[in-house]
Parts: sequence; C-alpha cells; structure tokens
Amino acid sequence: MSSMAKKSIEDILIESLDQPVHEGEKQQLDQRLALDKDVRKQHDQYLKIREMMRRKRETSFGPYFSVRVATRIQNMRKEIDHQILFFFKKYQLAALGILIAIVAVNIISAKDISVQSVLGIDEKNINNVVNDADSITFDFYKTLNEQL
Amino acid sequence: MRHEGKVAAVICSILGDGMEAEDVGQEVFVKFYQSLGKFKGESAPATYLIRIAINQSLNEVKKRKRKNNLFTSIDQGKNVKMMDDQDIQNVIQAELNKLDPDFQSVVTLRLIEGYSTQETADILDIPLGTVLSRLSRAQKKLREVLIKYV
Repeated sequence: MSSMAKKSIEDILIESLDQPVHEGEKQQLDQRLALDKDVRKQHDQYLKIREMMRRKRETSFGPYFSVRVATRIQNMRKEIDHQILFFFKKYQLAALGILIAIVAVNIISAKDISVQSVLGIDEKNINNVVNDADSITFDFYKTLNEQL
Repeated sequence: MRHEGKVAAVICSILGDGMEAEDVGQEVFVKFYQSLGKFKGESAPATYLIRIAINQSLNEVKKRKRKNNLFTSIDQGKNVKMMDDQDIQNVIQAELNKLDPDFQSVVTLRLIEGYSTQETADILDIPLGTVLSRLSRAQKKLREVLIKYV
C-alpha cells in the first residue's frame, strides 16, 4: 500500500465525517473500510477524537452578566462625554476672554451706553429701518377694489 | 442576553473558564454595541456576534502567547488512565492553542461547538472548501497528539 494512496484515503475519510463525499470516493472508502483493518482503526480514532472534543455542557458567564455589560457600556458613554468636556474645557477660558474683549470694545466705541452699543448693533441702521417703516402706507380697501 | 450562551461557549473553548473569559465576553458585546451602526444585517446577529467572539478570543490568545502565559497547567507525567474529563479538556485546549489561529477557529466552531461546515464558513466569512481543508489538516495534527487519550 503506497503512502500516497493512504493519504488520499485519510483525506476522504476525514471529509466524509463532515459532508457527503463523491460517489466514487464513497465506494473507495467503503471498500477500504471493509478490507483494511488500519483504515477501520483510523476511522474509529477520528470518531473518538471528535466525540472527545465535542462540548458536553452548557456554558454561561454567570448571573447578572447582562447587567455588567450594560454598566460597562454606560461607563464607556460617560467616559466619552467626559473626554468631550475635557477637550472643550481648554478653550473655555480663551472664548470667555475674547467675548469680554468684544463687549469692552463695543462699550468704549459707543457714544452712549445702551444695550445696542454693548451688542454692537449700529443705532443709525435701526433708526433708518424704523423711519422707512413709517413711510410705507397700505390702503387695504384701495388694493381690494383694484383686485376686484 | 439571548446569545450569551453561544458567545460564552466559543470564548471558553478557546480561553478556558475564568474571569478573563468573562472580560472578553463583555468586550464582545461592547464591540457589537459599538458596531451596530455599521451592521447592515447581511448576516444574522448571532453569526456576527460569534465572529467577534472568535476574533477577540484569538487576539487574547496572541497576547497570552506574547506574555508566554500558559493556559492551563497540564501534568504531562500524569497517567492517561488517571485523567478525568477536565484533564482531557485541558489537554485538548492546550493542543488547540498550539494550532494556527485559522485552524483553531474552524476546529472550535465545527468540532467543539458543533456548528455545521456551512455555518462555520458563514461565521468566519470564508469559503466552504477552505473550512474543509483546514478541518482536515487540523484533525491530522490533533490525532497525532490526542491518539493516546482515545
């Protein structure tokens, strides 16, 4: 019996344990199993090893595993929030300084101190808009008659 | 959790029972939660979870190998006839961890957890032929070392 032939029959034998093999291979395997004691022994060994390896009991991570996972996810989210907060904290002081500087410049440059001057709104523009609004007239009945 | 048992089984097959296995288990569900946005439903959630579990466990194996941390102390001198089921499971686990990770994942899913070859291929996202060839090579290697226990 050549080693090549033996290897081939071993491959067929192993494959046959997981899925149906081709008809020709099946016949070859059945024939060898019937005639060759070594192949039969090999077949039995593979079956026993597979049986030995198969899981025989249920496994679990124990009670409250889901609670532990949920807690871990919550902690992870808190950690991300904390990181975001920490990232922006560095810029908080600088942003506050810039804001105070803008307000101070507005107050200094304004003629009189008012809410508009602090917010940096041009007072002349506001007055213009109000004046323009007064000059607009709308005669409802005239427009209605024209439409009819 | 619906799939906790399946995830626990896969992780414990590779890493053994213990706190580290549970840590990896938690990591698997956290990773699943984090990747929910990317999950397109191409495979069943259980398949996706088991895939993460396999990858996380094999990463842990790599870490342990780097640290040269043996999984379970095996009494090599112990008489085979004196060995109980737990001893034999420890031997199997130690031998499994000597295999290449690609072979280990196939053997874990097919031979230990009893998934079909097609399910194994789906979980690992590899062709069925690859599963069969890896199974064949892994079983030959395992037979060489486990033959004395049968």
